[in-house]
Amino acid sequence: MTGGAIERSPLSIVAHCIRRSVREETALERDVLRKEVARTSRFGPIARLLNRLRWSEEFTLIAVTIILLVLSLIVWMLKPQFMTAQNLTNIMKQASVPLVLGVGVTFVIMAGSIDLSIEGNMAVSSVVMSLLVLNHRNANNLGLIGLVIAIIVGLLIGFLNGLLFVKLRIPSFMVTFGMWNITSGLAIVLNQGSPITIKDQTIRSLAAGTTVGIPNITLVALGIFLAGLFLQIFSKFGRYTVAIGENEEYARLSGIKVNRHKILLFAFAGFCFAAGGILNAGRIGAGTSLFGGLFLFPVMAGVIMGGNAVTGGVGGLLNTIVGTLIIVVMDNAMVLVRVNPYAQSTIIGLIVVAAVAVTIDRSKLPLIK
Amino acid sequence: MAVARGRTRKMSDKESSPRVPIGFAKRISNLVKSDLYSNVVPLAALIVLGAVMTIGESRFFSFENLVNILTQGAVLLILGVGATFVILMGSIDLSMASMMAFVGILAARLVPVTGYWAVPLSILGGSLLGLINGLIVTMVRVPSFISTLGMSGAITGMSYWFCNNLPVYILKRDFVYTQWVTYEVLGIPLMVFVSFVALLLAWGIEKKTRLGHYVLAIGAGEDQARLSGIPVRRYKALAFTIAGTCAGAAGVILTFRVAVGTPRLGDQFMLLTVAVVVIGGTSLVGGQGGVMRTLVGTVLISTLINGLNLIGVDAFLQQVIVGILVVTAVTITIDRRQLSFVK
Repeated sequence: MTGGAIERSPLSIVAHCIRRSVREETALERDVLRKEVARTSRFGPIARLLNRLRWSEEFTLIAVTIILLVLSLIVWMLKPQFMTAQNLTNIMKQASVPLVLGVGVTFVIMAGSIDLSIEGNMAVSSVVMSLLVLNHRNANNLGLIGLVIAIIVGLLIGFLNGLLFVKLRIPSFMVTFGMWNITSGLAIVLNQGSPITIKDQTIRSLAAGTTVGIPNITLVALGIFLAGLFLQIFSKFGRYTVAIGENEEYARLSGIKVNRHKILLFAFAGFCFAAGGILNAGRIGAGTSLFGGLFLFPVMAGVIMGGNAVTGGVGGLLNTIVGTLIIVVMDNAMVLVRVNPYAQSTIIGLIVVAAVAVTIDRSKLPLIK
Repeated sequence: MAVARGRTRKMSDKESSPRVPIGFAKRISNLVKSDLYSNVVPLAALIVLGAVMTIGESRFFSFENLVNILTQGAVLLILGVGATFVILMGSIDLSMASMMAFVGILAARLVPVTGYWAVPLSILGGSLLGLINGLIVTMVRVPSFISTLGMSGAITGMSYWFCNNLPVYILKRDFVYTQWVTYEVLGIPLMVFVSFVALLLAWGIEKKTRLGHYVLAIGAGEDQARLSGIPVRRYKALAFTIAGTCAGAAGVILTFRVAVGTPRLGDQFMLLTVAVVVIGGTSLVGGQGGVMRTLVGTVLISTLINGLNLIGVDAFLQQVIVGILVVTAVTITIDRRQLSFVK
């Protein structure tokens, strides 16, 4: 037999004896066995190297911040126009929508799930909003009420995601993959195939104007980010999310209502995606439907690269903002250096794979499917 | 301690195990046992659908329309067959649609240069991409859903890069190399025959070769398979390579049919590939199913889309409907005993 032997360490023998002597398996010994299996030669050489690369949580944040600073420095040296006020403003504007989206994605990933329905949710919310506020297709003029209704729609989509995930017990990637397609199709059906121009000036200035030299869109994004940060660090919601991601069984045994929390989580993510969609619609001036990974991949890349592992329980919003900034700076740099724009999307896709490869905690996944 | 009343189940098979109420998901699983669904329901649904369509729209049962269904379904069948091998293992390949587009552009570029050899060369390109997917899952150890998602973005970017965002037209003088896909024999285009050849090949692999049996074993229980001595990593990589090859073949055929290679070729197929496999009855966690079920799924989806087109339903509303069907099918067929926790 080649390469399939499991080393019998004292710990595994102890675990085996525990299992035989106690009638029922407990969560603790399942955990012990799992960690033991994870340490054996089941992983190939590349995976074991990557496992060793995983730093502790605190160090990850410092490390990615250093990476961001070094990257900015290198770009500044190569292209001095990087550090102009205009370019920095561009970067701030570019990073705003991915940041808002990233807040939602971060919470979901911290709980160990994943939400692929970002773009569909954005599309539906932006189309709904553009249909309700002053636009060129019908006579509605609901103003800010239209905005609120669009956010509620996004929240409901997220709620539906969570409901299907929890009640039907389908893996989250499948539920959100299905919802991605459903909501994308729905958005196109609603806008009848062509973008709806938004004429409401309040909303447009919300996304396109500037206050005190900082783009409005960045202020809104920062506001949502800070609110999310507060939620993550100081509220039960945030701490329970991390607990669920860390180890769901322990969390459930500690009394956390995991199912209810998960539904809330996806609803919150839906709110973030809707907010992102509305900001984006305001910025480009029309409610359109997107399909093709325009936001999904950069947001995922930013969140995961910042240090949030897809397996959950590690990372946080600070990691996300640094990761998102890295991606936006890289994008900006590639534009300045005049790299082929299509090469950029290729690189972003590869970054997603590489970032997951480095950050996931393979001992948490019993099988890598 | 309160005792759960009414419909309950035991948490494990032990005598002293506590009883918990049956959740909604378990009730569905009990109601529609996986075996029953997988063997009977898709076929029954197909028959019912056919009957409804014939009654509703008389054009449905014409030879022309049936050929149309098979033609639309040919590309989907090849894709579905490739995806079946991956899904049987419990993994998933979301990058098949983008591989399709890339290989199509590759083929369109190669045809003026290499003539007939463009076909095997581009399909080989697809196999290579599939192999890369397989290596990422087996050697770098990244879960397949996120790695193939990332790869799909990367490959789409490569498609745009390769063609510089300009469609690659196949010129009339090269049509002799490409238009054989639409050449009709007995009124049926050759691509339908090609798809059936692919189906039979895949069925042979699944039933008669080691690869087929091992893939099923890996899906049914990877740890058990590994402890039985199956070289799991090798066969996983092989399954992903097959998926890549099928995606390549589908891309070549579709590109030849429309005579232009574009990066957006595979857009609608990402959902449809998963749809035909899951609706046909193959379980997402693997270990159950097969290519014949995917055939039923393909005919079902193709018929449904054809029927919806005849009625005049919006193309994107069709996407909504298919999405809902996929979620429903996954709910019914997924074997939750294999998922100790649902993430």
